[in-house]
Amino acid sequence: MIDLVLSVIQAIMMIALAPLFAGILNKAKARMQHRAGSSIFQPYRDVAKLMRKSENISESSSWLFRFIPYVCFGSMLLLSLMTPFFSAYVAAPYGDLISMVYIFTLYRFMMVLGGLEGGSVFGGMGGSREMMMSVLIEPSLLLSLMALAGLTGGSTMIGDIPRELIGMGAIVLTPALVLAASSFFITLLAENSRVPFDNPATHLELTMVHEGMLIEYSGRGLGLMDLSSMMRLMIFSSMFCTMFFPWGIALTASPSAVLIGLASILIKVLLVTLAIALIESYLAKYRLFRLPNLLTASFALSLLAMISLYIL
Amino acid sequence: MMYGTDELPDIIRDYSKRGFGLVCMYARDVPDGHVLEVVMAGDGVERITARVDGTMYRSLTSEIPGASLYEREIYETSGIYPAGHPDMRPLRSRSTWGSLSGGDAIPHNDIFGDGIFEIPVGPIHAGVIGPGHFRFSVAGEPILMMKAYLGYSRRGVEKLMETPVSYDNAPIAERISGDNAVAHTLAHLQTVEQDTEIPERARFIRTMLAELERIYNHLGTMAGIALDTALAVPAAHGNMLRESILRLNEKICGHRQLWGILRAGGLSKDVSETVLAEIERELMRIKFDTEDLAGVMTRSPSFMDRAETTGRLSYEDAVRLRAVGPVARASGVNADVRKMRPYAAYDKVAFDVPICPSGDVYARMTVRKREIIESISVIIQCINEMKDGPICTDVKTKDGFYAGITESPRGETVHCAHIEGGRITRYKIRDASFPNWPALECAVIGNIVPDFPVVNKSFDLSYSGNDL
Repeated sequence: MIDLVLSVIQAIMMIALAPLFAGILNKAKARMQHRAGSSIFQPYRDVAKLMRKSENISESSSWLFRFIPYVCFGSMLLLSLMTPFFSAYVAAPYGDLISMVYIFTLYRFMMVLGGLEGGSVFGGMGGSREMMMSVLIEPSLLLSLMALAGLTGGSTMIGDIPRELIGMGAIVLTPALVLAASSFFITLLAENSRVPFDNPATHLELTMVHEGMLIEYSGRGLGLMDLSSMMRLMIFSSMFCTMFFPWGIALTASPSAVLIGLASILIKVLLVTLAIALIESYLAKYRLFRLPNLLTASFALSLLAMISLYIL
Repeated sequence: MMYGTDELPDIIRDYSKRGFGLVCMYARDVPDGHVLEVVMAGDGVERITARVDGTMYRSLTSEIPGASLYEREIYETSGIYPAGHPDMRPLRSRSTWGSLSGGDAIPHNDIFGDGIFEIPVGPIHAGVIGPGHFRFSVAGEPILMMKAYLGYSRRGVEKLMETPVSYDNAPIAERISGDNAVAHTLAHLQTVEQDTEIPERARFIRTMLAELERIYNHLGTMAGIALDTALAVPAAHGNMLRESILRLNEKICGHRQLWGILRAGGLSKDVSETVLAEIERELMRIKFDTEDLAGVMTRSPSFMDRAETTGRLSYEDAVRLRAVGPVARASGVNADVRKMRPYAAYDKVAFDVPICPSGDVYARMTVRKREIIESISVIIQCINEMKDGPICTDVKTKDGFYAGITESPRGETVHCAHIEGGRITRYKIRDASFPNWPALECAVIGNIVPDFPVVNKSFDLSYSGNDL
């Protein structure tokens, strides 16, 4: 019973904290550019404002267009129940890594459909670029998670992985873990449309990938899509922190373990957020046709992780 | 001397052999019809006048490609049709002259085939930029053809200039393209001041103002290129440098873009020694910071990958389309009005004209960066050479044809005035952006759609200057 309560609490926390970390990311980027930047609570205000506004919907769109934000938000809700945050208990214990990857794919597919539904050229362009990247992201994401599962004895159950990694002690720090983690981090940037894959701050409609697909959304639909993409970043960061570097996570439901788990995950997610801010300040956006090279590098890393698992 | 329109190609070719180039072409009403005025500039400025029989003449474009835009403009504004012109698309699709240009209907690109799509973009854009409609024909991401349709910010400036010469038209000239105010106003004043001897101090200060304008424009463009490649920190750095120049400008004349200080005969306000000393101090800092900024961008492999070979404008295309300014110089064309026909005090200062041969985004950025360094040196020379003295003199404007040509941050800026009986009867403005827009159409071919914004930014073209 206590596991269920803990996992629901952590799912709610992930949703509630997602805009905060988005705000911290923007603030950190602004400070690196010598700007004051908006408050770290600004994403909450933005989402709240959008939720109150009425929608302006393209005449060429069908019922699907209105339906998609709910599917996207729903899939992120489901994933937040499946992802460990401060404790290794997850409310949907039957979900495994493979189903997670394909819920992300569902989200992306729906977003591309939404971009096409709007009937503007930018939605179509963003969608085609997203699909090009998606084809390359999927194998490296799957393979890096498989390497992780291989490392912990073959289970792809999400709740088991942190437990087993910690149980293995220091021997877990193998090349396989580091390689898989690096590969996962690159896919994290690609999945979440960050620099160098996409520029989330751009005003240039011709270069947009993620924003291009959202360009026809407004009001509540846009609010939900924005919130979903913040949750996606949060879920990816938590996955990175709890699956690859789980130390500190609460394995029991005792208050002290939960407190340590909470403190450690917040610090880890904050570090990931700052790392993204640093990368976004340091790198230029890559040329579109250069992105497959980067994603191939990510795939190669996860493949190496897989190989090193068996030969080392 | 009046020629026939059929003689024009030969005459223009003769001038070209003597190093003259076409800088402007327009139609003018005369009591019994129209004449074409062709302005050629080389060591000096020459005007060729040709009578048009009726409302049609044989197009010059097939022999002189640089005339294409002007012929389209003449058709839209005067209804004189250039027979045999290969490309009569509307030039300013929403021109105030309405139906002549075919109203609002923008034609599809003339390119067809399997998998070729047309992407219409604008005139309203996601960012705060000028209004322009672009039609891209793409096969996947690579651009096969791009056509720009402008004219959304047309105000009829040329007509507004047709006033008695005693009127102060400098405020209008400043508003042609707000960030090139000094260059436009200086070109306008040349048509009014004619051979009036301007006091030396005023000439030095005018040179200084023109160079300050160049510096802040170029810094803005460098920041824009960085921003469009998502290089956020150098972009913020560039905008900070630009801001420090704008603040200097405000100290000089109370306006951040240097409006209101230039007037016929000299200046409306002197610049004090303390301000001059501050300019000198600030510029030394900006010089090092600009080198830093360029260094940070050049050392970033991800930026260089975006900038090199992107949006290449070949030397041949730059010459054929008569591109001007930093865009032409980045394609290896050695052309600068300040060297060829010095105005203000450019004959008294030493400076280099940077040239880059490669014609890509990186070349245009490098030319701009080196021009900033040269401009700083010019300003320091002006401040050192400047002596106390009057800053304004009386102006006597004579009748006749006068052309004023200056080098704005975007390139050669031309103003032509026909003055009869103390009144301007025809005024023609050609902003540097006007001939550079077709060069942009040419440079983006073969690039991918997401690279267009950075190519566009590296050209740094003005919408309002083009639309007039």
